[in-house]
Amino acid sequence: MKCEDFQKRISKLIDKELSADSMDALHRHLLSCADCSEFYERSKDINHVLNSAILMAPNTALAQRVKEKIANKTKGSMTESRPMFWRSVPVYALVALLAVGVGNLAGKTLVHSLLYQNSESALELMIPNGTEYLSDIFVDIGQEGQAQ
Amino acid sequence: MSRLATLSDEQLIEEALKGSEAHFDVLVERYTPQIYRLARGITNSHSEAEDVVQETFLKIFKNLNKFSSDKANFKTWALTIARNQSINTLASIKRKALQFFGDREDDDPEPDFSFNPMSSEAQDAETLMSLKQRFYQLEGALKKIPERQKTALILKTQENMSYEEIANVMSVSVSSVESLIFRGRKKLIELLEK
Repeated sequence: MKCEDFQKRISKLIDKELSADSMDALHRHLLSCADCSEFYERSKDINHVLNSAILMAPNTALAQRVKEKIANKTKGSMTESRPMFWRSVPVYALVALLAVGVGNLAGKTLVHSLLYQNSESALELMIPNGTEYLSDIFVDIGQEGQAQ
Repeated sequence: MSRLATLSDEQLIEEALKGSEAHFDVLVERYTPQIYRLARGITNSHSEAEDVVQETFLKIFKNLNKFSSDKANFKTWALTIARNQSINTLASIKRKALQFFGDREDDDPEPDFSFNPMSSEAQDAETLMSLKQRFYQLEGALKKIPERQKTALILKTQENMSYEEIANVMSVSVSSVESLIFRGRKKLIELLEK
């Protein structure tokens, strides 16, 4: 086995990823190889220094800034949903206009249908000839008057 | 420690998905240091690393409903997003540097070493000072090794992740991680000898 192979094992040993059955051969080699022993010591040192970066803390305000940014984003997405509602207003207006139009086509306005539907029914009860509207009777009376 | 801080990542995610900002905030506090360290290692810049942290959490927030604990744990998922964000940022830095300056000198302030209550070494100011100096020296060498080697080394030495977890973050095989870390170490030793 070459030194390069042992150094790969050293790297795994430092990372606690080396299997137990590979350790004996490595330890024997380290006792007899100065280059690999040096690689081991230097690798351990680099590991120790890199690990010290755990002490390197980000600015304590960073997490707070992230939280605020996300809170703003959440509010932003809520305000972004409002234009969606206003964009649908023309649709509601169109539906209302269609309803009025259909009402007019039927000979009655929407207002007429809504406000006078009940009273018309009441008038119909008062008219002896239930097949006619009160307005028709007035027209008939008018026509009779003119004929006389 | 607040009651929320004792909850597992999965419990926090479940509540955050129901709309609890407080639960998501705990995830932010828990993972900001790890994401910052990885981003700083890749971008070599304190200010860019802070931006990466913000962008990473925004992405996590937007895609939280896509997270599946069956496929990966939250830490692995968050660090994968952070790594991709850092690589994009690094590419953008390099483009700008090529465009305007030819080569970029990092004028960021030195990172702050703070006392970590979990570390016994941090209690000794002299040890801390010595570690700081050696870290800055090593950081100079880290800038010169490829991103993949650097990321694998950072995740191993600073976040104490297993080769398998690192392989998941980097979308490579476990044997590739072994090789990246080994070559990274070898290169750092060579650079520090010069």
